[in-house]
Formats: sequence, structure tokens, C-alpha cells
Amino acid sequence: MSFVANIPAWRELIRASIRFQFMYRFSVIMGILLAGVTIYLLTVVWTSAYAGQDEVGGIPLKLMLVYLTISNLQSWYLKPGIGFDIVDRVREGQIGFDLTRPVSYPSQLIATAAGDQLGMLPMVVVALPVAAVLGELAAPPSWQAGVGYLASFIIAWFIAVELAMIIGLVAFWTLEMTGFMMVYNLVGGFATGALVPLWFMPDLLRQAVQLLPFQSIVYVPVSIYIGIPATGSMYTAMALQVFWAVVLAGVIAIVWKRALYRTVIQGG
Amino acid sequence: MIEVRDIAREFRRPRQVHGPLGGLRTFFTREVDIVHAVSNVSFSIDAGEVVGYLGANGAGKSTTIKMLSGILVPTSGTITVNGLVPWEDREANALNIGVVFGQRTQLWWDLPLIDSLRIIAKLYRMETAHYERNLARLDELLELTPFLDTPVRQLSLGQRMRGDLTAAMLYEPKILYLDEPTIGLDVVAKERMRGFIERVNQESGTTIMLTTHDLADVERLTKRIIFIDKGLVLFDGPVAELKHRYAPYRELHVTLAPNGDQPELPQMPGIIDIEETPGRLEIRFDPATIAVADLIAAVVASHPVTDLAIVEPALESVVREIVQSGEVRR
Repeated sequence: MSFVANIPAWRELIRASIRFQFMYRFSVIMGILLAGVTIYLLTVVWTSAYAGQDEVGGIPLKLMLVYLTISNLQSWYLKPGIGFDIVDRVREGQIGFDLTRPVSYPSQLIATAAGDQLGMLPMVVVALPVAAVLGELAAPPSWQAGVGYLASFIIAWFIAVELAMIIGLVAFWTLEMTGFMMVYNLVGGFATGALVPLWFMPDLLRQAVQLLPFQSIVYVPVSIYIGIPATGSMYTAMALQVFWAVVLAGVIAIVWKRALYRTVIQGG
Repeated sequence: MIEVRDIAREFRRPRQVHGPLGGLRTFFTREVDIVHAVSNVSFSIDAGEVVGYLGANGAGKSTTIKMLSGILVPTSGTITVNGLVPWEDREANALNIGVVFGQRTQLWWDLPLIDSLRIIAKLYRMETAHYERNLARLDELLELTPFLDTPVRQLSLGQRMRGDLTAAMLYEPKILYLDEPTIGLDVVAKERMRGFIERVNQESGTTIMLTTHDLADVERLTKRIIFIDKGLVLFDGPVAELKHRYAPYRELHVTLAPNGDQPELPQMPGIIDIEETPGRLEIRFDPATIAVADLIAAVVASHPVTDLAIVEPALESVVREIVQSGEVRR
């Protein structure tokens, strides 16, 4: 079984990328500051939007602020760098080495992404107080919501990794990724629900966003956390996430297969 | 071990439009230029062989190596490497091959060399004891100890290449593809590299395919050459045969005693050309017509000789001629 045989390889890749996170801790800290500023601005804007009312559309201001704080904390934490890694490695021709490993490249990427996340974990200790001071933190309303959130969060991680991988694989077709990345970050960032929760979006926009996978990364898990799950019950919300995880895995399988036949190694 | 049949690989790229608004027109054009990197290449390599794969820049050498290692899929044709189709059984094939691309590194830029090697050992499913044994042996051959703990980005080119060779040989692949392994190295480093490649082939029976522009590599390491140009095989055979076709002559280089006489040599059949400078004679002759001993006897009889050398034509001049003429003599 090559799956079992490859476990030590994945473990070693995870270990290596944990080390990389420690090496790049300066940029991780900058990321925390950026998230802190975003949280602060959103808190100010939404507090003023509530215009002194305790509740808008059945959502108390405090709950709203907790949603925004957790959302942006999570957006900071779940930002897989593998999309950029793929683009760089294709651009520089290093991808050739990745393709001559006995471990498939997609699985190498997942291991790398897992290591990145684990390496960032200690930084959460720094990020939490920053978020608490600049925004609003509260525990989930029940232990079920807490456990549900953790489960949903793990699926969200997987979806974020899958999306990053799909975007990165576009580099096999074109190396001009900057503009594409900007559009993706803007649309994706908004559609996760980290700036405006889905329940405050106008109907048409909300329906469009609900058809996209992005809400599964932030909106779905965080709405479970605050106790008002997206689809009414946290189980159906997680089922929606699993649906997207499976669909995206299928997309990756197809794109990856085609990318291999497209491979052009830059340079001699 | 390696079977290559009629492989071709083309690349498509949008045609560049020149003239007014050329950039914009290039963007919208649907025309493509097709570049034939490899047109029709066939060869087979036996286990344990060392083969020099030669050709000018852009001849298709690296493209072939990439198809052999499973990175690129040929447009047509078939390849089997140790019974596997490289791009279909990519992961199984990977366990059989080691790859060194002289202009790149497979090592992790920011990690110490030893960490990269440990990752590679795990990627290739090595047991710890096996890894340590092989590392110790490679360390002995390539003297890695002084820089094992140095991050790869701080290594000199020679050290980095030794690191890359170690990475490629760590898991004892049956086949080693070396794409310009001595590029940019100084004389000492080149020699070390060649010595290593030679030992690996002799001791482990590793099949080696080597592309290089340094023909000293080929003369030292390989008996067989495959020469490609514009994506076609021009020559496949022993180094000696290629030289023989191009330069069936030898040269006798004679150093004369200072202030000695320098009379004319008698006319003899088999002498093609004599280049004469004060104190020195370079006689080009056909060894099939005149025996070397007779020629030397004649020279020594008429000249005060202090030194003699018989020089074979250099492979380099042969290759230069092939590349310029674009064909190999029959």
C-alpha cells in the first residue's frame, strides 16, 4: 500500500513546513496586525451602523461583533500559502522535482498546508488577546456549538486548501496570475462572509454567495460558533461543507490530470 | 533498461504579432507557433551503461530527460524505463530514478543541507538505518561534513552540486539522469564530480544518462554517445567511432632541441600535413597508411628530438563540426 508507505513522507513534510512557519514568524506577526486592524475597523463601522439599537434583524450587536471578530481571526489563520507556492515553483521550473517524487504532488501540498497551520498555532496565543482588545470575544452558547465549530473548522480548512490548490494549478496554463489573484482575493474575501455576514446581504447577492464554496470557509463555521447555524441546523451546515469538499476534490482530480499533460518546464 | 521509440514533443505558443498594436494583437491572436523540441528520437540503453547525450543548446536534450523522468508527456511515441511508462507510473518510476538538473536544485533553499536530505530520505521511503549508512558513504565520497549544517542558499555552487548529487543518489536509484552536472564548476570540483559518477557506475552498476557541454566529461566517463540536433538523433554509437569518422588521422607533436637543425622531412605516403614552427613540428598522418613507428624513426633519424607525443583529435572539434554542418558523416 503506497498510502501507508507514504505516511513518513507526509509527516516529514509537515515537520518541515512547521519549521518554515517559525522562520517566517515576522510575516505571521504582520498578518496578525492586519487582522487586528480589520477587526477594529469592522467593529467601529458595524457599531455605528447599528445606530444605537441593541438588535437589528434579530441579531444583537454583541453577537454581531463576536461574529466579525471570530470570522476575521479565522480568515487570518486559514490562508493557505500553497497557491503562491505552486505559482512560484511552476514559474521557476522547480515543479519538475515535485513531479519526480514517489509521493503525489497534491498530497505533498496538503501535507505542507497542514504543517503551515500547525506552525501558526502558537501564534494564536498572540492573536487572541489582540482580537479581544480590538473586537469582541465570547464563548459559544453551548458545548455542542463549540464542538460543532471545531469540526466545521477542520472541513473549512480542507476547503480553503482545495481552493488554494485549484487557483495555484491555473499557473500550469498561464503564469500571469497577479490580476487573477487580486480578483479572486476580492471576490473570495467578500463571499466568505468575513466582512458582511450572509444574513445582512440583499437577497440576490446572498443567493449568489450561497451557490459558491467560499461561505463554507468562514460564514458556515462561525455561524455555528455563535449558535445560529447557516442552514438552520449545524448538521446540515456541515453536510453542505462536506458536499463542497467532495466537489472540489473532484475538480482537483480533473484539473491535476490535465495540468500534468500541459506541463511546460520553464527554462532549459 | 531504457527504451525510447519514436518520441516527439512539440510546444505551442501564441504567435507574436509585430507592428502597430503588436502586443494587443498578440493577446487576441489565435494563431500558434508549434515548436518541435524533439521530432523523432529512438534509442535503448542497457543496465549499467553510461551514455553521453550531446547536442547544441536547444537540441532537445533536456526535453528528452524530462520525458524520461515523467515530468513531460511526449506528443507521440513510447518510453519504458525499467518496465514502467514514466508519466503513467510516475510515482513508481520516481523510486527508480535520480535526477540532477545542474541549473536547479531539488534541495530546500532555506533549510540546512542535512534537513533536505532527511526529507528526501523519507520521501523515498528509506529506513533510518539505511539512510544513515548511505549518507555516511556519500559523505566519504563527496566530503559533505563541512557544510551539512549550512542552509542551502549559503552553499557555493560546487557544494550545492555535491548536495544535489547526494540527494539524487541517497536512495540508490537504478538510473541516474544528469543534466549538465558540471555546469559552472571549477576544475577541481569538476574532477571530483566525474570521479564520483565513475565510482557510482562501477560500484553500484547504476545506469547513467549524462547531458553536458563539457566534452571532457564525456571523454572521461562514457563509451557511448547519442548525438541529437534539432530534435533528431544524428549519431548513436561509441565515442571512438564518431572520432574516427571525423578525424581518421593522428598528430605527432615533436619538440626539437634548441638551436638544432630543422631540415625538411622526406616525402612519405600517409603524411597529410606538416606544420612547422621554430623548435616544433606537428605532423598530421593517417595511421592506416603509415605505421607510427616508421614515422617516428624517420623523424628521429633526421631531427634532434627532445620530446615526442602522439595526439588524438579532440572530441570538441568533432562536435563543433557536427553542430555547424548539422549532419554526421557516414
